[in-house]
Amino acid sequence: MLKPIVENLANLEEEMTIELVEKAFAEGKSVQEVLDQCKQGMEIVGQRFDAGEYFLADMMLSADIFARVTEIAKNLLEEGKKTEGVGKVLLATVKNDIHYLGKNLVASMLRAFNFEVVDLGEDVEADVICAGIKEHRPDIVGFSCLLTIGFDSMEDTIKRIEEIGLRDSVKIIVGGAPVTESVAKQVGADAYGSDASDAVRKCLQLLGV
Amino acid sequence: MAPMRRMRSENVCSYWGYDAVNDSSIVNQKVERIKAAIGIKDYDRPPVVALAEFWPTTLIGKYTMQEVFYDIDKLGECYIEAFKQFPDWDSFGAVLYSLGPMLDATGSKRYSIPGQTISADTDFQHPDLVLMDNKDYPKLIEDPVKFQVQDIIPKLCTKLAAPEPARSKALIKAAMYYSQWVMKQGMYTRRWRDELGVPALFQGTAIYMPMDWIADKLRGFMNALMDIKRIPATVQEACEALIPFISQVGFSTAVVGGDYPLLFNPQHVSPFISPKDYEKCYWPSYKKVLDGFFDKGYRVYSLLEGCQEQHLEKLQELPKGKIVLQFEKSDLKLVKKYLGGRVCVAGGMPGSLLVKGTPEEVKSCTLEVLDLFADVGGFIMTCDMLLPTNAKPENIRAWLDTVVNYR
Repeated sequence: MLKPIVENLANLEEEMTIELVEKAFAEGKSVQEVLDQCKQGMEIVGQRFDAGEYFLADMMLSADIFARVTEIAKNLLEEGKKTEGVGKVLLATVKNDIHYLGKNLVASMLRAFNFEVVDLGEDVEADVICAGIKEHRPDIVGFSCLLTIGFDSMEDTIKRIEEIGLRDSVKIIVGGAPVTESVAKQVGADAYGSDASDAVRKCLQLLGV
Repeated sequence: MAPMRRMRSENVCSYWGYDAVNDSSIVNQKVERIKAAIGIKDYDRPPVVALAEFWPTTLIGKYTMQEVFYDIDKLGECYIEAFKQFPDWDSFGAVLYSLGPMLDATGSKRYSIPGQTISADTDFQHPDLVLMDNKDYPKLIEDPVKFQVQDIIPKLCTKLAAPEPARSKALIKAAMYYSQWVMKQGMYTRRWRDELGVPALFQGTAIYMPMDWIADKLRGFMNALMDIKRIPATVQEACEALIPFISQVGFSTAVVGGDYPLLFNPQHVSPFISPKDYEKCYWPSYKKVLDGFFDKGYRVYSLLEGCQEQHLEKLQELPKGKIVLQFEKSDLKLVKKYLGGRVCVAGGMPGSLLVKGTPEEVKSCTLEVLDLFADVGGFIMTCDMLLPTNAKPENIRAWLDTVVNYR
């Protein structure tokens, strides 16, 4: 039988989940224990999404609930006792494309699965992405686009990362409405995320988790 | 043969019994093919069409996106050249979206404009604007027009929020640009049809269904999805309240008298919600708006973005022969299983293939899709998205040649 926090988060019962989390903290449960239960809930949400029971709106609500929980937990964590992340992901919507919905959703889902996310925004130049890689040293770089003109931007950016010798230091994943597995290969990416849930799964695979 | 002209308010049902094939012109053959596809009747082959805004700008390569966004004649010229190169479209949904002067006149923040917030060589884009708070739903429900005029437009169009007489001046300027735009869109549409043999696919402006209107024009996309989850009853009420407004937009801009009264309806929200949420917040107002148009003899072309396989069962309730459903990422084999022979299905050519594929791959994809629908009819071949501005010309050629020669 599922624990109440796991079950309520999995069923997207927002207020009940928050109430249970606050109660658990008030009773002295550790941050790690509560977050672990929330992650279990998120995993069930991901499974229901894969099974076609949940859709993007449901995923977004689950990510929102998780964000509220982490906000409460953050206040309880002492400085220097931050939980260890799975890995760091640098995200950007590539040059000539201003759309952020897909990218932001991937960011929320990655955070919910304990990734550290650096979001460089939209319409981001290749050189800015390269500078971001140098500064933040991510494990994975994720590119998104909603327009087919973004294919060339993705390809150019990956070439630029190669030119400055950083390609071997990162794994690259791409996604977005017009992107396909075949496009991902053609632009030189390591992986393709068909949706937010798939992006998280692929990021975990890329890190061998 | 010139199209028959009718009064705007007249019921247009008679168009569907109107026998246009009284000569052998290519245009009339194309029109009949489209009408047969929509009505699920026999045709010689499925029609091939496309929807586009700025597609020919890159193809012709004479102007930047910024130039055509500000000059409708430059975009019209690009389309003329493009249709000379590719006259085989059975119909084309081309919108001359050269709205730059009008947007500047009103100070509108609706679009990211080439040369302003994005590169001059990039297609215009739609930022996700949040113009309405969730506390404002009661005002929207009480009087959608009053709320939008008083609360939304001043937030969207900075110059229409200015004190008089600046506000009136901006309004007059915008109205002048708008009337000029409508006139020129009509003029080019007639030229494409009469001189180049490419009839227009749609009449009037794009119609957004109430839930899409709330997401795209008022609440912002992510907020609207969260409203569906958190306050579904309120959202449902707001959709209901918007039905007369949405219907009026459709009726007032669709100029009756073209080859067939088909209205364009893009759908953005539905791919992202479950059948349960669709049943509550999307379907009821969608169905009522559709029924209003069908009653007046209009037909509707709904572009179902993304993957909408979860709604196929519900879509079986749509009436036969009155609607076209274009699919983007939904599996067409599944679509055929649920809807084949019941409603006209459109799609089949992935935009990414036109951009990144080869002519051989395009030909093979085209044949596969045409074969799939060969036994049920009621199919229109089109790109699954707006025709990409960077589609390879050789791929478009391979696509059109394959469809035109298909029997």
